[in-house]
Amino acid sequence: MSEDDDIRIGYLAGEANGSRPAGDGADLDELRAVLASPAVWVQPPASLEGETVAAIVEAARLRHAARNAHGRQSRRRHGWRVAGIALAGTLAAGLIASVIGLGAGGKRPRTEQLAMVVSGTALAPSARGTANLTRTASGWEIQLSVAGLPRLAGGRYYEGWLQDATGERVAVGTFNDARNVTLWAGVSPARFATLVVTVQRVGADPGDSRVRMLVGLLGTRRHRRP
Amino acid sequence: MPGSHWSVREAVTRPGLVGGRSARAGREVDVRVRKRFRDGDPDAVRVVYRAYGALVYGVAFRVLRDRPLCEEATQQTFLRAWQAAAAFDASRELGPWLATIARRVAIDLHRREAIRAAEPLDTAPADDPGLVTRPLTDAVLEVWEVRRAISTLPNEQREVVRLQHFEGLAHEQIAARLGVPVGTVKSRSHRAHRRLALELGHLREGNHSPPTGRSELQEAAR
Repeated sequence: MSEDDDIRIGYLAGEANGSRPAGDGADLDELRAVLASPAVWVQPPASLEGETVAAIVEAARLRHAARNAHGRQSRRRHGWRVAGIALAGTLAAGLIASVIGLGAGGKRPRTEQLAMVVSGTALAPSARGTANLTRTASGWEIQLSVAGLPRLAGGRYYEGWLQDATGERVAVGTFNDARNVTLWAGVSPARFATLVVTVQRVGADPGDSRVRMLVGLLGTRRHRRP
Repeated sequence: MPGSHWSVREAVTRPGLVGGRSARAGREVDVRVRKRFRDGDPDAVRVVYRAYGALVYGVAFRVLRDRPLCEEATQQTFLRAWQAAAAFDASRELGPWLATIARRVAIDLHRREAIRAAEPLDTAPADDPGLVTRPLTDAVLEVWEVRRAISTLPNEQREVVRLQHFEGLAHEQIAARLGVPVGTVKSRSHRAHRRLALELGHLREGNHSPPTGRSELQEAAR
């Protein structure tokens, strides 16, 4: 360590005898300014680690599910080619049966209902519930009933989304308490088959915060009611 | 989801994964961790976050100066990094790449907020990220490098530096705050600043190479 280095360290450390190095102390002044900046000392909240990990894990899970769905579709396409002729015959028979049924006084509109189990992500592992989706003239009514989620207030709220296999999302409503809430969707759950509930913040990006609390996938329960 | 072959505890204690006994900020993570991060392995995501989360947050704070927005920026940075990880060469360091993403995410958020606030241009500060990008890039890189260098200090030295520069306390005041002799504060301060100057390439003599990743950071920011 040279004498010049000692002078520079002394100046940087603010020592009593640490005079400013002649001619080239500007870089040390710059460093001192950076060291005084809150950006150098501020620490993220401890909860951010869990939220970030949860967001990525959930994103990975969805990507995995989307790839699996794509694979299943490919296999199905292959299967359909094999069974194409038989299926066409069955469909034709079904169509005839439906027309006959309607003609025999079956003009009552059918109410289509779908249901799914929703469960908490790593951010809310104990949360669990159901979502019932009913097709109406106005769109799809979603009755969400979930236990184990805290009520949000003070600028934070929940937002529901329906998501398709490519990750595209449509918002279905915002709420504070998930125990009994009605959401509405203007898209078909046949394509947008995943329900996601995120935590949002007033004033932040109105888009998906990616802080997911609940996820449900259609196909866990399904029935048609005449 | 791929299975986890090692735990976070193992990852932060096994040499070579994140560099020894602690996940020091900015310490480069092992190539296996980078590959598992790419796959969305929760343990790897956690290890990468522990290595870089505070650095990313600091970069976001330099741009945004708002804690909730910084949290959003930090999460978005890691999420975007993960989403783009397939295109990332796992043999390269994650740090410079993450710093670049963090800077872009923070500036995007800043612009979004600025649009929302609809502040007139003449009230924007001179270093507003929406107005000046080049000096900001330098400032962001400085924050990243200085935080990384500070993370190499032992806790007691780091605290002295923080009290001195951030809180503006004199050595005597620091001694009183910490309950240690003034001489101890002075020696900790001297050792800490010597280490910082070495890490940051501020010493003129000897073989003082620039800090690891500095050139990559500058390259990535272009």
